[in-house]
Amino acid sequence: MANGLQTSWRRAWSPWTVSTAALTAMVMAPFVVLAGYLVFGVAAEWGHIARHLLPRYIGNTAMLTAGVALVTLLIGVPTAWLVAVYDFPARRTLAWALLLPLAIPTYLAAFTWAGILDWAGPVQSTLRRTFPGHDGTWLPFEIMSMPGAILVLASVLYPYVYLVTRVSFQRQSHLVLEAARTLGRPPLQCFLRVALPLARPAMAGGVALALMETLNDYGAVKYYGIDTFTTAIFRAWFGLNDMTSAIRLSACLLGAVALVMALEYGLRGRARFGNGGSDQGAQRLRLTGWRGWGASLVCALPVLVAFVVPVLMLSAWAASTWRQVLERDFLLLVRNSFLLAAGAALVAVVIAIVIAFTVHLYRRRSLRLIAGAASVGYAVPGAVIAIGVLVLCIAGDRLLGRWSAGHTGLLFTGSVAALLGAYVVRFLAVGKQTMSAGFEGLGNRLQAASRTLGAGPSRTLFQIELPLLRGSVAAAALLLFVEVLKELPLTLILRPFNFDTLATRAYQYASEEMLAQSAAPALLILLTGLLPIILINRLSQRQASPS
Amino acid sequence: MILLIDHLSKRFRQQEHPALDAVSFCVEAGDIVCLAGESGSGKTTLLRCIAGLEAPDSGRISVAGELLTEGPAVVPPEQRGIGLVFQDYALFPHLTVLRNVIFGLHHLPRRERRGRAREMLDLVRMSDYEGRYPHELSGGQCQRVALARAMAPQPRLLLFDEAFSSLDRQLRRAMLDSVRQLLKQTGTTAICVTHDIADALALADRLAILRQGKLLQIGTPHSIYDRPVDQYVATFFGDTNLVPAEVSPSCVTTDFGTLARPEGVNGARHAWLSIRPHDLQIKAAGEGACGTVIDVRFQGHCQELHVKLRCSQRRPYRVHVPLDESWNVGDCIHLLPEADKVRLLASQTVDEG
Repeated sequence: MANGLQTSWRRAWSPWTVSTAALTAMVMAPFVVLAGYLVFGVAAEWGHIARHLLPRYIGNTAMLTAGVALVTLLIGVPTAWLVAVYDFPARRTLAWALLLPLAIPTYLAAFTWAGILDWAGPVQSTLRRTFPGHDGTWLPFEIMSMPGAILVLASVLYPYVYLVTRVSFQRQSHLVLEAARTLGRPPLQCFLRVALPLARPAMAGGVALALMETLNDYGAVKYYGIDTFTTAIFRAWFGLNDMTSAIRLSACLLGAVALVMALEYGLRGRARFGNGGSDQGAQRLRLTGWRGWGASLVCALPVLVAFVVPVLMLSAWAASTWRQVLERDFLLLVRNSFLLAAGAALVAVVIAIVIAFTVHLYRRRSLRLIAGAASVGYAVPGAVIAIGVLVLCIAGDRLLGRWSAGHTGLLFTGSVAALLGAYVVRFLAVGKQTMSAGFEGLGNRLQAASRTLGAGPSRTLFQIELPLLRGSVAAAALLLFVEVLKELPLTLILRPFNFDTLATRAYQYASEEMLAQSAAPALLILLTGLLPIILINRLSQRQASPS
Repeated sequence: MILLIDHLSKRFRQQEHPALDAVSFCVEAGDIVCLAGESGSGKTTLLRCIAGLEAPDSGRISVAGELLTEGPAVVPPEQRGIGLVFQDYALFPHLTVLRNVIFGLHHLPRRERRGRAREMLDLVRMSDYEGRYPHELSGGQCQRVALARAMAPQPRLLLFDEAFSSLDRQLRRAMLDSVRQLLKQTGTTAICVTHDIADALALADRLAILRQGKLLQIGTPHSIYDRPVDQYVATFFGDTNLVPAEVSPSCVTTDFGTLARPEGVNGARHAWLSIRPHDLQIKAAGEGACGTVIDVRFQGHCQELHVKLRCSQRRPYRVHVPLDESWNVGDCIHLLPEADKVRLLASQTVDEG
């Protein structure tokens, strides 16, 4: 047999496949450890938790997710329908502005709204000033409650439903509108009879995304005093010092995530009929007069309430406290945060490129499955991943301590490296998705051309494919950067001692009832969060008008 | 012998027919071979296997005595020294014309690369465009750059994958001529895949006809035209009359009477003969079969008569006659095939469909 002849066995073990397998194994490690403890661990406090607390966690989590699902649908679907099918004043601007609340992390929305509706906040003070004799509670309900949490979470999570459903409506709009015209039915009936059932898979997809964020949330529910699984994990770990109970609670939370995904899968039905029709859509129906302005108002309302008001509030607070907050310490904080996010983004992008390129290179189903496993972290709440990484670090430190007798310190636990690793596990899917789409778009003809010209896989990657995928790499890095910058629960658990990011500092200020002081870091997170939304908007516009 | 292909087979998942079914043939150095067949015949899969972009299930490929493929074990494409010109050219969009050509010259010392690339661009008359990017070129220009790029590393074997099908007819003809000239001038061995028989004839020294993964026939265009092995090859390559016949060991009985058994392998009693339209000779009354001209068509180099035989219910036969003969619809005509041009066709070796 000739020298260069590669058997299929050797071909399966190229540097690319080996690194992909190794990286996937590393990403999966925290979950494997969690599973191990779940089976073999001894939970001292579990009896107490299961008897007295678990029913409340389950009830609260169920009510919260059900409420968020309902409210996101109520906001997201009508706005999506209006934007997709009708033309009305400021439609284009509103179509984009409806996405803006996505830039506000759930915990920031929770603090801000608590501050706005506070006794000392602008709403109650204005009311007191206007009606001096009255000093009772003016508000019909207390924001720091279950309904309040549902409304606040939904106010920043409805864009998921809006975005996915809008695309679906746009695709079927010509069908629906032509049916409306030819059958003489009013558009509203078409909406209820045709468009809504057709958009069911899309709505299920959007709600599933919103609910994953809801289950991931820690800051908002903690601040509003609602006991859910995330707060329970924190309490078991930090309050009761019971690692195995924390892990069992994590498993329960994962069960909830799986339930959401299963429901989404079920609702999506056998057929994925969201894909029919064209992206272009039909000529939009023009709404004139009060109908037009009414539509504008309906679409503007969520933007105003969920985005403009909180941003104004935060700006006002920031304006009054910036002298206090903006010290050298704050700049250090910003630097920390940005470096950390950039570092995590860099590592994740490199790993994403390696995995996506390997799948692209070999086009094997087995590889695709392995690589798919590396994306699993995105569905797992940050707190769960943090616990997994922490358990791994503790085990690593123990091993190290046993090997080197004198060593008692903690090398892994509470290190920046552990935090970085956890971010990568959590968000790798974001980068992988973007890079896979990029490689898929390139196709394999350039790869084939390069290979027949004598260039190996690496040279092909670096000289041909990566230069052509600069846009994808930048997009992946930006998305990852913002995700890491916003992240709260995972950072709270894993951050090194005395190490703060913008997110943890904002959370800390807020939980110490210094809402005004939290505004500066919050605004910075929020503004950075706007970047990917602008990017998404630009990309979708480029798709809409192929020129 | 530069390329040897030995019992190459490949089946894609969830496909009825194998993409390649025990294909064997060889190519001599300096030869230009065209793989012709309709889409799905396996010709592109065969080419991709030769290039190393695809691994067969079984069979061997060796080039210049070096074993490159043995079943799923393959030498990677970058170590084969085999060039490939793609259907859509696959030029690197972010590199200039010159850089595209230089890309394949990695094995040369750095200072020689530019000179060699310029030489190649000169050869395809594209030197004036070396600073352009692919999107600034026309289809024909892209084609020439792709050719220069593939030939620059002096591959042992050059492959063309439907490389001319996206050019318009006029340009394609000129391109094929200059490519053939270039290949002959440089002594390059080439294999090209095409579904267009005219392209194949313009380029090839030898022709290989594939259908449903099987290699039906390989040979010079002339020999295939004269001696097609079966019905598919006979009709794929040029016009022909298919004539049913009763076969006996020494003769065949047809619409034209009893003829000496023609060349061709077929053990069945009922078989088909192939008679090209210009191999049907017009005879005086009393000889051959009698028929009526039902249509006369102008063909450029000749005229085509459609003749309905009196003794046959079959569809009309086509006969090519010189332009200076005068024929009209309704004329009576007597036809007899030229004895040594008739061909006994093998029964279909593949399923109809």
